[in-house]
Amino acid sequence: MQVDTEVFRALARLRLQTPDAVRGRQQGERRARVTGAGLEFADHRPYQDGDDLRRVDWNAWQRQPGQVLLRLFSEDRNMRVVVLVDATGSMGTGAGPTTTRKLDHAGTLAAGFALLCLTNRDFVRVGCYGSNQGAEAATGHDMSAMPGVLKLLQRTDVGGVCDDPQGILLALAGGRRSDMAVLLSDMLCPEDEMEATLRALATLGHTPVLLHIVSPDDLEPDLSKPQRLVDAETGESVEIPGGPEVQAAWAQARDAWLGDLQSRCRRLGIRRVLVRTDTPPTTLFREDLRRTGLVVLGARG
Amino acid sequence: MTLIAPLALALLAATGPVVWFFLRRPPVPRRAVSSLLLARALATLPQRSRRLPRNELVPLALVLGALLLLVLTLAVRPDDSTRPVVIVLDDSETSPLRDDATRAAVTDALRAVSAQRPEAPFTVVGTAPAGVRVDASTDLSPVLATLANAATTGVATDPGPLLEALCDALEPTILVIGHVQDEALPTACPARMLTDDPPPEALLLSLTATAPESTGDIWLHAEAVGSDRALVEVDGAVIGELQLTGDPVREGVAQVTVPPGATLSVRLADTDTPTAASTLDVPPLSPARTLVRTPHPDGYLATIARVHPRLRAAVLAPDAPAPSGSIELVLSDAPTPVTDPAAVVAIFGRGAPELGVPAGRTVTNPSISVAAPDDPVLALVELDTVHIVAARTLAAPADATILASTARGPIALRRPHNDGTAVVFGLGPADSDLALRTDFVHLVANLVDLAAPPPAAPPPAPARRRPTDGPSVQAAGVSATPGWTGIVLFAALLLAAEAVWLVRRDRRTP
Repeated sequence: MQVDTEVFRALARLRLQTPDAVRGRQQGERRARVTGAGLEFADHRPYQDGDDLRRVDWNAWQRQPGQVLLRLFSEDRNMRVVVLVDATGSMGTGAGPTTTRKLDHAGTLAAGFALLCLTNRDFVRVGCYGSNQGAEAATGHDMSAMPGVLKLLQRTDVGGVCDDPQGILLALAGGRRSDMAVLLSDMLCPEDEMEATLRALATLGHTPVLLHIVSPDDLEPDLSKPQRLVDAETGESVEIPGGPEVQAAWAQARDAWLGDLQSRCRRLGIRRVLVRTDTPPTTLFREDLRRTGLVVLGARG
Repeated sequence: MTLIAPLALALLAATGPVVWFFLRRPPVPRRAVSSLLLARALATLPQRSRRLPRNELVPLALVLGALLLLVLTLAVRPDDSTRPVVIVLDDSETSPLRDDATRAAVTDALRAVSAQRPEAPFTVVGTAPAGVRVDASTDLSPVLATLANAATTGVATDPGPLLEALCDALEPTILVIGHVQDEALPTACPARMLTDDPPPEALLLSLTATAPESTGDIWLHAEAVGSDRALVEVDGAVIGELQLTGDPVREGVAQVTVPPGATLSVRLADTDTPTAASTLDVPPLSPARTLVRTPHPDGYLATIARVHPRLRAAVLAPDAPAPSGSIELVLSDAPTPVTDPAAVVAIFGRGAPELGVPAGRTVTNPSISVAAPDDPVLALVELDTVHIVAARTLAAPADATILASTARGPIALRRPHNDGTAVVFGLGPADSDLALRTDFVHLVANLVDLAAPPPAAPPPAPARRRPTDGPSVQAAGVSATPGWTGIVLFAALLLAAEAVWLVRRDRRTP
């Protein structure tokens, strides 16, 4: 896929934001859920056997003799983000005079997410599935990993059908749950496959995000004339009669599909953001994702 | 009828591509989509029918109908290139070819037919008793010559048997010129009326007229059919009528007086059939330069010379010099000899030795007998009733024509003289009551006619029927059978309907 690195300039001073405390293992700049050797006071708890006596709050013991409290300090950890890119055959469509392929658009967005993570020393794991090269991933927690991420994205091309998306997604995520899981996909798949994919996404991150990549051709295709539609993944084809009735039927099916997807995401707690390929990626980061609270401007979590 | 014609086969073969063109369903464009997930929802819609849409069936039917009609046309159309042509020509007295315009139009039509069928022989069958005029000639010249001389005075006969025989033998195309009964035309051969010519009920066949006399009298002779009375008109006013008798051609003779320069016409009466009047333009009379030598300037000769409309007279004394210029008539009752050169020299009351007619003895109260009543000098002059007091007999030379004589000898004669005529009367105007009678006026008029003959009147215009709407000649469609043109027109109508259908359909399609 082709990654538009010009987008990176627009991502300065932006960072990812999660509503919950991070659960990263490494030192970072985000307040973690766990308490430990941090500098900022977080809470008290009763002393238990084996606790470090150096963390006993003797002032509180003097105010309330007989109750030994232990001072807790919050730790700053980094955020763990997993970005998964759907590279199945359906993502290879959508190229037009003013639009790029959905896969290229998804690659640019994935690179942008990786950049937002790495510039903030968050752990990011970028994985692609469905391509002919198989499932691959690149990880890193600082900018030194950015070339690897870009190389992975650039060598990934459109593949065919993904038979077991749930297993592949779990495998790509590295076997543990992340703070944020971002899936870039058009979700044009059968109903059971869609359900499995969304369930896997909900499992992978505490904040699952679905960037629903669609092209204008997916939403408003020109069906005024008879034509034979060929599935980009399976090669199956079906001939349809053209005309206003067909267009109306298509619009009805599209709305039903989008509504079904939205309801599934809401049920699984997934944040779904509709991404049109004719919308510049910078607009997505600076407006759409900021509106959802997933991206903030220069603030520290 | 045969379908084994190159054009018919070609048209039949052309129906194949037409049907293929309409039945061909162009392949729909292929379009790659992300998934057929949404397209499967369209499966409930009616798919594109394998059958030809109804709006395509109509133009297909129209085009196929037109092509099949053209094939049918080629099948039923006979090969006219070599089919003989039989011309049924009404060459009787009622022939429309008496009209010059109709004859010219018929000639042009036949030339067109000959150009269409250069190999076809032409046979001309006349309805007059003469029968066949031209027998199977590929050369059009004798045919056209027959047309030029077609109008006869004969009565049309039934050409039916002859046409039946020709139709059975030659299977020709029959062209009818003039009025021929429909029953006479064979039904097995295509026939065309070249002229739209109803049968005349009344027809003025001919009109002949004599040259107008000095008195303006004209004898008319007319022939006609269908009417027994003809009206004679002068400048539009009826001045008399002709009674026509006979069967079938009626004829009549009449004498009418027509002023010089007037127009005389004759037309049939008591009939509604429009018949053209035969007209005759009477030429105006030119005056005769006359010299009157008389010792009595107010005498009878001088007076009539002054008042006669055709005399431009100069009255001179007997010895007066003659005026310059030519003189056509000299009238003299002077005793002196006349030496003036003129075409006609008339001497009254004496002999004329200078003209070779010496005088004889004098007779009194003679009884006159007219010796040459048909002589132009004595036309309408009755000398035998003139009372003569005294007259001189004349010694008639051998070349003289005695006009009137007495028992003692001739008193009026005419003889040639110096390339002219000398007319000598032994009686003078004052020696009898001649000058008091109309015979004197006639006599002077006869002398004027002799000296200056009136110009001959042109022959009357030929009598002919008056065409109601001009000549009607139908040369188109001669080479076609009756249904051929109609089928072609219907095929063209189908194609036009198909074009209109397509235009309307395209306008309705957004």
